[in-house]
Order: sequence, then structure tokens, then C-alpha cells
Amino acid sequence: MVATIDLNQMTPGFSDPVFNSQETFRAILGAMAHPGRIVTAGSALDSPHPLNRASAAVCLTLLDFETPLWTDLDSDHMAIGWLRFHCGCPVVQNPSEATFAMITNNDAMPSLNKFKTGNDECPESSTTLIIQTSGLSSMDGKRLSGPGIETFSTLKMEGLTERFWQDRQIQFTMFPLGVDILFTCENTLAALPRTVKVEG
Amino acid sequence: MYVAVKGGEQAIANAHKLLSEKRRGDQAVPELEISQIKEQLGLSVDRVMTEGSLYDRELAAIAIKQAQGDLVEAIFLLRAYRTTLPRFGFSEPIETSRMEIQRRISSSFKDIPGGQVLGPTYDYTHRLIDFALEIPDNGNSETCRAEVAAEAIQNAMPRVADLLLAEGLIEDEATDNDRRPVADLTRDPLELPAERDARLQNLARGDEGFILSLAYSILRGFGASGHPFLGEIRFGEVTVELVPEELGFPIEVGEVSVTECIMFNRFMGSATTSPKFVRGYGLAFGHCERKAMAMAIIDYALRSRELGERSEYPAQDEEFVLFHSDNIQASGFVEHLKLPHYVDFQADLVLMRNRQGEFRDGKKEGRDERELEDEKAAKEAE
Amino acid sequence: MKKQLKRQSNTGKDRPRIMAGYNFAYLDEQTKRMIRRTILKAVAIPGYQVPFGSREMPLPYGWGTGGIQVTASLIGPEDTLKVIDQGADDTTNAVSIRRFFSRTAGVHTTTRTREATIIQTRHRIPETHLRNGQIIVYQVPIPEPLRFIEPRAKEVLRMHALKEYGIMFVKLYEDISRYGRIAKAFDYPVLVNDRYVMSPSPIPKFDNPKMDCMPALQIFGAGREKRIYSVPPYTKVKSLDFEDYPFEVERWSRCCALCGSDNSYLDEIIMDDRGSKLFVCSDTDHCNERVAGGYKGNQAESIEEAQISTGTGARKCA
Repeated sequence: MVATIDLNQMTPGFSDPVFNSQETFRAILGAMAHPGRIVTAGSALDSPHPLNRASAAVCLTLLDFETPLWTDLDSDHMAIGWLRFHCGCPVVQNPSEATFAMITNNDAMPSLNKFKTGNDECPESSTTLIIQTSGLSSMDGKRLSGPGIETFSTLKMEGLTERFWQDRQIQFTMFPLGVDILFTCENTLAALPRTVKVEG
Repeated sequence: MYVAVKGGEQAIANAHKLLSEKRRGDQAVPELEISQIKEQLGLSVDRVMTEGSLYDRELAAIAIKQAQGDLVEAIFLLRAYRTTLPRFGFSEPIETSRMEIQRRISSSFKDIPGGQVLGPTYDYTHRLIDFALEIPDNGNSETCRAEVAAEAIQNAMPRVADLLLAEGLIEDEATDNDRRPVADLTRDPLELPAERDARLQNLARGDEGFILSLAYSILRGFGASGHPFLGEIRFGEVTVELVPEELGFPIEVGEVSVTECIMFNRFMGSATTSPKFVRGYGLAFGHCERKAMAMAIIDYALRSRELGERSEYPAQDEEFVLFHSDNIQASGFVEHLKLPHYVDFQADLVLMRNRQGEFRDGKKEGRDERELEDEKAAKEAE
Repeated sequence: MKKQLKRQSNTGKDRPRIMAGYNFAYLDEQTKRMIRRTILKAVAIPGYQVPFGSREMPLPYGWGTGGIQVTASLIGPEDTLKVIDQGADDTTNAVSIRRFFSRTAGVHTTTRTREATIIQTRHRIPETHLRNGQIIVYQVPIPEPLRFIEPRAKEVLRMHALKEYGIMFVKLYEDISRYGRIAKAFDYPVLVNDRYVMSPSPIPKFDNPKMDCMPALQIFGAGREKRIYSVPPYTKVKSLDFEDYPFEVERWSRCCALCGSDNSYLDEIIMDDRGSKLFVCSDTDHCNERVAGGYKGNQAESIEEAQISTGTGARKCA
């Protein structure tokens, strides 16, 4: 599978891996510590279709040979070749084995409980989902509250199914178990850690 | 008048200059050369490599020089350097049965195939200070040259345990084929219960003094199964092989000298397992017999859970042993008490003064009879 | 090939000047990634101790290796770093750690709490209110708040899993029945987000209230014990207590001799062998800022500066 990587078509990763990943990490951390806050990431990246720039930047920053990735893309998809090449991450077939998951098609997304949600003694051993959305704004949308949020924040994520929000509601009651989510759109991202209560 | 302390950076720099001066000592005395440490303080080098988890005689010797012979400090230097090294791959397990033997003895049998090879040893030396060493003789003396044996040592010496294995008297430890990744405590935190690979790595890196004293506690009675037998201890060179991804077969990348120890322990059997001897295993870089033996004793002690035996003594307590064996962790934490703690001490001072105040007030209101009696007794004694 | 493609443009123009032979901020990129992933999980589960593959650092365990690894994974060229120990920027270990980051990351450092983007601390939270966007990194010796009640890791893991903190309350209540108060002056346990009991690190309990709903992100690093945990901004942090024995902090009957502050944490300085004492702010930046603003304590005139003695020179004394 690795052999199918076509280096001629491969777009580069970060121009400066050390500093670009540091910068991206701080953006992700800012988002995770302030759920609902929209930050920018990967603006200068030439990401492989269908990954948006923010998703690509998150992968370059957090993934490596220690983080099995599950994705809804076909295994021979060029974007997977790109991820394997730049991140060296193993790609797994079963969402329950994944440390990270990349979702590009929200309609066909597996139920949240198919991913790792951790266990009572190791709640951290849960999947972090990167969900690509067709729009991300804080003008209106869901009302978020919880750690990292002073009173409440609002976040609108386009293109997520009703079933997804039902799943999320169930997981919220399972705290400290549950997945953590990064929503991405173009060169922006926002986070929804498991602690956050979502209303509306 | 209060003098506000400032200028910490300069003070630290000066302290370190002073340290360099102290390290060098009297300038009239020739400076130690690294080759001298490597050649003439070889056992220090071996210990530093073992507990430093890095096989590099040159670096270990520099570390010993830099640490003024403080081996724990030298181990720390080597460890801190080791973390910065990239990993090229993982070697194949070394094959100690193909060791180029320098020393090999078994105390479980009078004679063994390949023979008892005393080799270089302090055993049977009389510990009398050799005043002849006071004056260097630049290798002229005949006394520091050993005669060459008429017969060469056999190339392959079977391990004593393998001889018992043929008879079914000892547990079979044939390598399991599951090829799960071997534990690496330098990359992942120790998890309990620990598997044997993680335990052995921990013991190999563990402080010689700590492991030794624990082993002693087992032999002295704070261990359930009593007396182990030294199946074999061997010291010599083994080759290290690596399978490069692109080749798919092992190639030789170097040679290391190691000390290996196997202890035999009685296992009287359980409802499901047949009685047999079981092994305790010890391995160290270079020539570290004391360490390898102590390690083998503790390895066995820590197998009590797996063997279904009672675990009631300190050396059998996995959490106690494994979390306290590392001298870099231990010395760092003990010595951190040198760091300023005045904020916390102030908090305790406030608490203690309040508590004392209450204690005095309480006394005024009504002391209990025992206190009064104690006071009376004290007066009478005067 | 992989390395070449990644590395070909690895020579940005504005890279800070750092010690040759080492990566930016000392840690290799793979280690940073591992620590960054750990930090994100720590933020997602407030107060829960996430295990991580702590590395052996060139500074001793117990001297801030956890905090250093966290800071090294956070820090970038845009950051301004402040390092304090006991509240002071000029204590020896703070100086040593600050120097480590100037050498390995070439970042700006400051003693001003307001100017810092990252504050690494041992044993104190600055008096100046931290603002949103700042990150405070605590050095932690024993991350497990239940350790001195139950030393077995497996046991306390279960207690955290089940939110079974009975033994902690029993211990605190025993203190009250024996001494009339909870005998914890520092490292006073807290409950984070109504879920996990957490060690605030050995800060005096005076600082505990500052943690509650703090606008800054709080990250705790324990290197020897291989744990990272966090309190996100605006998160509830409650010091454990009882209704009839509410939590209270230390109070001094005096003010800082230098700046006259009557609400900061004071260090007690012994002046001579007759027991004369002086009380001054433990937070040196806070104190300096007040003095610069014209505030004065009752001994402000009689203060002189001196160098820490190294044994090579005479100590300057008045």
C-alpha cells in the first residue's frame, strides 16, 4: 500500500515542521481550552483533496507512528497516501482501534460509540475525531457551556446529522468517558471536548 | 537591615566554575585521560553503562571524569545524553550461548561441559591492600601478566540451564513467538502489573545498591522460598545483530560484553503445574557480577504472582521494588529537598504557630491528669 | 526520501538562535507530539492525571522535569516566558530553568507576570491576576492527591475511576477531630469540575482560591511520576472542606516591609540571631511593581541588594 504513494503528485507538508507544528498545536490547544472558539490553522498548506487545510495541519501536528488513524476515505485514496507519507501513521479499518479519526462525509459517519471512549481507569484512551464541516461560525448555532467557557459560547457547525447530536448527548452523560472532537472548515477549527454541554 | 538576594545567574555560573576547579584538583598532578578510565576503572565504566542504559565505553568514561567519579552522577549524564539519540531500529535478541567466554562458572554442578572458567575475578583474592600499586610501574612488572592456557576455551559453551531442560527439570523459556513489542520504560510509563520484560528492564537499569540489598533481604529470610542456586554466571562478548527493513535478514552491527546470571529456584508445583526448577535472570553490560546475581534473585522474587506463590515480603512487592529502584529518580527527588521550600515552610510555620497557641490556651483552661503527672515526675527527677 | 522531503525547507529565516546540536526547546519532535497529545487529553478531562512517556531530562527529577517537558512542548518563538520558584524570579532553580530555555529555545524571557505568555512555576501562583490567553505550567513532585493516604497506584486508580473519595474526607476529618483543623498548609487537595480530586502541587493553600475559574489555562507536569493534568480556563476548582469547617487561607497580621501590601503571601526573613524578623512579599514581581508604583512598606529605606554567595567572594552585608 505504501508503494502506491506517488511522490510526483504529493504536495508538501509543513514548510517548517518544528515551528509550524508548534504554532498549529497552540491553535488546537487554544480551541480545546476554549470550546467553541474558532481558530485558524494550516493557512499556508496545500492540503490533498478532500482534506481541508485545518484538518491537514492537525494531522501533521499530532499524528505519527504511535497513533492509529481511522478514516472514511478509501484505502487507496491519495489523501491517505499523503497522511501515511507525512505522518507515518498506521491506518486501521476499525474505528474502535483508532486514536484519531478523520471524517470527511458526515452523512455516512459511524455512530460515536463505535469509536474508543476510554474506560473508567483510562478515560484518556479515547479517539479524537477530526470532523470536516461545510461551515463553521460562532454567530449563532448550538449553545455550549462547561470548562473553558466563562458563561456560554455559540458555535454553528454545518452539515451534521441529527443522529450525531443524539449520539453526542448520550456520550455527554458518560463523562469522563467519551470522544473529543475537532471540527474543521477550510483553514479554521473549533473544538468540542467531552466536558462540554451542548444545547439547542 | 534586610539584604535582598539577587544575581542568581552569576552565582550559579561561579559555582560551576568552582566545580571545574575542584574537579581538576591539584594542577601539579597530571590530568586523567579518558583511556585511563576506560582501561583502569573498567568496572566503574561497566556499571555506568549498565545503569545508564547505553553501551558506550568512551562516553561512560567521560561521564565518570566529568562527575569526579560519582557514579550515580555519571549514570545521570549518560541517561540524559541517551534520550537525545535517534533510534535506528531494534536489534535481535543477543545469543549468550554463543558468547565468547572470558569467565563462566556454575555452582550447581562440580563440572560442566566446557568446564569451569574462573577468568578475571576478585573471588578468592585476599582483601589486603596491595601497596605495590602505590607506585606505577608502567606495566613492567611480571605480576600483572597472566599466563596463556595451553588449551583454548571452547567456542560454544552450552548453558547449564539448557542441560537441565533436556531432562525436563527446569521450566522451558523458549522465546514466545507472539512478537509483541518488547516493553520500553524509556518511552512508556511503567504500568502495573508489569510484565517480565518491563521488570527486567527496570532491574537492569536499577541501582546496584538497592537491588543488592533487596536480594540480600530475600536470602536472609525476608523471602518465601529460601536458597536459590547459582545455575551459571558467564561473562564475555556477544555479537549484536540487526535486521534492516530493506534486507530482511540479520547483519552484524557490533559486539558488546555482558554478564549473564541464571539462578535456579525450586518450584514445588501446584494443582495444574508440575514441580520443577524455575529461573531468575540477570543481565548487565560489561562485567557486573554482583548486579547480575542480585537482579536474578529479584527477578525470581517478583515472579511470585505468576507462580501462584504468596507475596508477602518487600522484595516480592512489584510496586515497591520497581517504583523505587531507579537511582536517577531517587537521587533527584531526595536531593530536590535542597531547592528552596521557604514558601511551604512558611505555610507550615503559620499552621504550627496557630496550633501551638491553641495548645497553650487549652493547657490554661484545664490540663489533663496525665500531663500533670508527667510534670510532677519530671520535677521529682530533678 | 521521507526525511529529505520533510527537511528540504527546514531552514526558516526567523528561527531563533539556539544551542548547536539540539532541537528547538531540546525535545525531539516525536516526543513533543506525544506530550502535546497528552496535554490535549488532560484539557479534555479536567483534573484527571494522564500518564505520559516522560523523558529523562538533563535536569534532575524533582527539579522541574515535568514542567520543563510541558513548557518545551508549548513554547514557540512568539512566546515570552517567566519562570518562578517560591514566587521569585531570581531563586536559583528558576534562574537555571529560565537559562535552559534561553539556551535551547532562544525565547524572550521576562520577570513581569503581565508580559508573560507562559509562566512556569514551582510552589506559587503569582499575585497578579492571570488573564485569558496566558498559560501557567506547574512543576509537580507528587501528582497523586491520595498518595499519602494510599500509596498503591492500582488502588487509587480505582478510587478516581469510581469517584470514591471517602478516604480523603476521613483523613481530613481525622485532622479536625485531633487538631481542630485540617492540618494541610500546602498541596491542599481540590475537587475539579465536581469530578476529580486533584493535587494543586505544593502551592500554599493561600493560592488555592486563585485556581477557581482562573481565566488562564493551567497545566501540571510531573516528570518523575510521568503524569500531566490540567484545569481549563473558567473551571470550577473547590478546596475540599466541610460545612462546619469551611476552607480558609493563611493571614498575616503584618504587611510587606517593602511594598506595604496587606494581601499578598509573605515570606518570613530571619534578620539576626536575636529572632528579629521581617515579612516581605514572596511574589517578587508583584512587590517590585507596587514599589515602582509608589507603595512603601515600613522598612523600604533599609533594603539593600546583595549577590548570592558562591564561596568565592565575600558576601556584601550592611
